[in-house]
Amino acid sequence: MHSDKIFLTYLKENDIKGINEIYLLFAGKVKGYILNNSGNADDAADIFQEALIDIFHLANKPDFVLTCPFEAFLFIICKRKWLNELKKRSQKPVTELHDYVSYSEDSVKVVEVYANQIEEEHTIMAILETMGDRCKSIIKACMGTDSQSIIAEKLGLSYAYLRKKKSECMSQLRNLVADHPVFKNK
Amino acid sequence: MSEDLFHKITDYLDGMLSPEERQQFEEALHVNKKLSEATALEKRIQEVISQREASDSKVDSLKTTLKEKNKTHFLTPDAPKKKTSLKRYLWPTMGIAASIAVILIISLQYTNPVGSLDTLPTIAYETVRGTEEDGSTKAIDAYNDREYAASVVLFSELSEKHDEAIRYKHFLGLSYFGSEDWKETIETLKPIADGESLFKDEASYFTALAAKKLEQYELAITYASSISEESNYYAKAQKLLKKIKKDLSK
Repeated sequence: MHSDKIFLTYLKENDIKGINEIYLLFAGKVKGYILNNSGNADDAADIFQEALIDIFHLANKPDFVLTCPFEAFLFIICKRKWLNELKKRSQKPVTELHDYVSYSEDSVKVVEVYANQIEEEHTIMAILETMGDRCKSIIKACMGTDSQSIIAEKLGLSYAYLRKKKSECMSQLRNLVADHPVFKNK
Repeated sequence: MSEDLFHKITDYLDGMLSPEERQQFEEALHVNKKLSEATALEKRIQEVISQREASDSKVDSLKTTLKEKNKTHFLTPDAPKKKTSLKRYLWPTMGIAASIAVILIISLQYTNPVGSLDTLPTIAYETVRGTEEDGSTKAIDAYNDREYAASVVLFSELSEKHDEAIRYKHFLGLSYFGSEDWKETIETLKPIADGESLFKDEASYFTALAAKKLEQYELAITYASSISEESNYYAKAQKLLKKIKKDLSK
């Protein structure tokens, strides 16, 4: 585990002083990169915030281990997000500046694996939001901590009906996810 | 057989299969690559959603902190605002006020019969009194509170459980109308409108109304015309027919 794991703790615990330190140390370089690549301050703020939230989710996984400097991890995720955003806006990056942050090829490979994972998770949650209200509420409720008999009672459904709808809704979600390019092209 | 196994993936992951079913499923996992991939994918999906649900409130707190930090570290200060004279806004404001006054006068004189024609009836508890508590109270409350998405779910379940009870299908149809699902309204209420139950005329009326929403005028006319003179819905049905004829003559 890298010594920079303290930054993960700051995020997990919403440590305001620690998060301020993250901004002081790393925000400037991300801002510089984005401003020099067709972006503005608002874009930089959004990308930096989204990247930190993604790292928060990763840090909460029991099997996540930070094996490279936090700066490199954060910067590569921000860069990848920005390049995807430029692609969506049909804009090519003006420059590919590597000297804002120095990192090894190994760091890139490690982060790419996690970045792909993040993209898959975003896709799953986005697809869930496109489903009907009924399926959405049943799936979300069943993924919480309550037992299914309690959930059935809260939703005013019989236990058997809840199980049947959960199975149908999960099957639908699974098929939608499997058909999405992010998963299909793996 | 293999199709049936795909439908058992959720039950398998939830540990709800019987020992024999579980054994059969696990044997299939070893030989059926597609089943194995689908099961792994669903497991992954469940883990992602569970984790996100568990960290929901923490993420909200973190977002609040990050938004504050963004203001300090990223966002540029607002440009100084110019002072503006009120005179610039005087004439446009007077114009807007005059337009609003005209609209108000017209709306007071104009009545929209279709708006009142759309009103759904309230369900009285007496109409569904049964010999046992079957969850109908929750469904009725949701419907009367205009929570139609919930009442669709609840009346669907009641209809499935009590297939012989026309009233639940009828209330389900009215719930579909409330949630503006015109197609489902027609599919659910049409059989009741074609039957002989005491819900016949009400079902005919809302079938006609839903058909008009979909511009299926022939269907709308058929069902609006079928309502008997003694029915509470007769007057509304006649208004609806006039409206349809007016729309068709445009």
